[in-house]
Amino acid sequence: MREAWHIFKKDVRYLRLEIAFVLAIITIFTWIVRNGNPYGTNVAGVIPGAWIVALFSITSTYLMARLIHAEAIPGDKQFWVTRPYHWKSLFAAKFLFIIAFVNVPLLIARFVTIASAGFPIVASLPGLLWSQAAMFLVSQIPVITVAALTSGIVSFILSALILTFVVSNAFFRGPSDAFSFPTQWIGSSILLVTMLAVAIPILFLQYRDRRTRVSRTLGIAGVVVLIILILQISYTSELNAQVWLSRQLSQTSPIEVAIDSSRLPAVHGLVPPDPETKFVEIDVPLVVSNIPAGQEVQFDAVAIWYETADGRQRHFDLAGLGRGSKVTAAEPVAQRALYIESSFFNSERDRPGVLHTSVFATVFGNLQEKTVQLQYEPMNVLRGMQCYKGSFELVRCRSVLRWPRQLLEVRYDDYAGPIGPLPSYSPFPGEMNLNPIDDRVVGPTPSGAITIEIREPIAHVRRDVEVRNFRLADFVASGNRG
Amino acid sequence: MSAVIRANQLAKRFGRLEVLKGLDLEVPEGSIFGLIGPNGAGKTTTLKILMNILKPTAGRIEALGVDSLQIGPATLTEIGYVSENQEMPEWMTVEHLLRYLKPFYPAWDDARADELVRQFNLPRDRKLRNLSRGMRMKAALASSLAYHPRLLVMDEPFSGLDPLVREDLIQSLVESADETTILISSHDLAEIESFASHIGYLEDGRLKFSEEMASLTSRFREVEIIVEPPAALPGEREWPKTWLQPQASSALVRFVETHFEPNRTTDEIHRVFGDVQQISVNPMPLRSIFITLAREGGGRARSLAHL
Repeated sequence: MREAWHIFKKDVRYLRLEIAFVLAIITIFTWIVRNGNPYGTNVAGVIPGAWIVALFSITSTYLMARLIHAEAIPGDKQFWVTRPYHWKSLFAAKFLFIIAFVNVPLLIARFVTIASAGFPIVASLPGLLWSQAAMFLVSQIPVITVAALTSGIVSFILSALILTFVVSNAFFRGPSDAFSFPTQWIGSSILLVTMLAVAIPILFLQYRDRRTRVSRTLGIAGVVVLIILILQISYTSELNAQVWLSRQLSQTSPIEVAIDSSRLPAVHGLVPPDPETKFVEIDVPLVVSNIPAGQEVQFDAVAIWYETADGRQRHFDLAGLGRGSKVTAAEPVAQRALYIESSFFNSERDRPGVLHTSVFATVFGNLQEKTVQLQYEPMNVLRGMQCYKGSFELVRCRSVLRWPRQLLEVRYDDYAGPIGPLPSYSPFPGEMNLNPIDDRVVGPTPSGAITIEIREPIAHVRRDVEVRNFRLADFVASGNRG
Repeated sequence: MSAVIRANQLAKRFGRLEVLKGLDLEVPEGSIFGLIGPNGAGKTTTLKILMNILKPTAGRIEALGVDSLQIGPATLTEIGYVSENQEMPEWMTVEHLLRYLKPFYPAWDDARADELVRQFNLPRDRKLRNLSRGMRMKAALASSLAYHPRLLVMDEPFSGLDPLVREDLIQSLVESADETTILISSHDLAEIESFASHIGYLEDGRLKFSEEMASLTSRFREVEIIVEPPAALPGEREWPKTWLQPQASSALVRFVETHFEPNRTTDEIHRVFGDVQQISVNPMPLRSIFITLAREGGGRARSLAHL
């Protein structure tokens, strides 16, 4: 430990200017967050918060790379490799430095932000610590690992840019819904665990044995695995995992789903009845029954595939379609539209096939309500959420570290709508945004009090429906008929 | 004398390039061992493998009884390494460098460090990046001698230094020789000759010979013979294998005897040339020996192993 402390002090002296710069940026960011919406433009049209976040990312990355390169691992000319360094001390010194000059200042800044915004401090602590740990694992471990595989800042920047490009490109080409709410946390966790499973052995190999060639091979293999995962993880697979994780509640939930042709809408169909149209719209009315009193069902995804009489299949990726739409006991029907090629439709329209449907949904219940008279100063409403009248008298609500995992709705005057985005089903108490406060516009100017409704997620369910003798012609959207 | 460094069939390959081809080497304890050889012979690679900076492709080398692959902090507290290519922490001042290194070495001697700083005229408060090349080398050496290492490994320490700096470095090396075995690779043969006790000649990845300096300089002689009448050089079969670089000009024959013994060499001359008018035998400086061996190795491609 004494040796680690000794190396740590040397690094502090060596990087004192870079440290001062990072601390100044964190201070400025805290000041901006405390004094207004950090992502709003100022009078000059500049978004100071966004610039500062970018600046922080760049400078902290640079600081960490310089720190690791002070005792660069690859190469055969380094001064330190012929000196009696213990690898554990060296690694501990680097770790301690990053904690001391990146994580702790950030933790303090975020703590100050949360406290000064009036959020309950004790209740926020687990989320804050979790979020801080997640930031270390997600954003700092990769930086340290790439720095440990490179010998200088130029090779580090090149490697980081290539890595960023390759991984971003994979996200761009992968399933578009996989890494968005509400199940993003599952795919992200898989990627994180994979990344750590590669990064930690690399750091171990590098610091203990300086086996750069093996480590670089391992790193490339890890990136390939990550890319495959990004391309393969789908929203549906995440939902299956989500259902499996809450399988006990899923199995006991009485919710049932059926497809009922009698519930087709009288007139429907987005595609006009044009003979030149290449696609035909098929409506699938999903009827949800056995919804217990006081509960409502929110659709997460519907996967549908049609199997023709001779065994051909057409898959319809409806993952994103209708996500967030709700059914209740009073209004139990949700329409889903499929668009199939006219040629396929014409050849199959009157031949009975099999329609397979998997419905992924989340059951919400345990309603809580609170009616408040909004002020210009944010006030705590429910579940650690604050609401207030913001600029232009709009209703704004904000949450700390993560948006609540409950279903949030607001009612006032003639307005009713959701508060914020779809809830994330993540069980973790915090997310990784640099700004710990998530602030959103939720509705127009109220004339009086507003009522907030909160429903807890009770179960994530998957219901599979199979309809035999399904004739496409019976389900053609009315707009296409004739 | 036991060996402080021992290499056995050491080999190193960089891709298709085979730099070391089964090097065998022993450096006796207490010696100042000069490792010489032409560029690309494998000197620096040998030293880097010894210090566990590079890993051998085959064979092994050990320092202070420890296999190079096992050399860790405990062994490194007893080894100093100074190289012309080493990247020093140039943002440090001389004073900071010495203070920083001190806790790593249980045997660190402040008095010795002070003495070296004074001896080398090192400015304590100047950053390494602002020092001349010679001064940086001095700082590196001071930081490597201050803990009384049992072994000091130096890779081309004199390269590009002015004579005064070289003299300072040599002086301090000689002073440390009582307690430290020194392995030094260098092209500066005049300096090596002035203080090395042993010499190893490395060529094409193999050690051609290794022996005490006194023995080496005593067995290499430049021999000039005046024969009567002028005669052509005898054929290679009759030419003793210990004679190198034969030259004949009129009545003068010149060659390098690599195993000089007065009586034996004279007998050989008479056997080859019969009666001769005059035999002149001149000692050779290390530089001349090196050039002879280097030309012999590159020119006739004749094995020098017998040397």
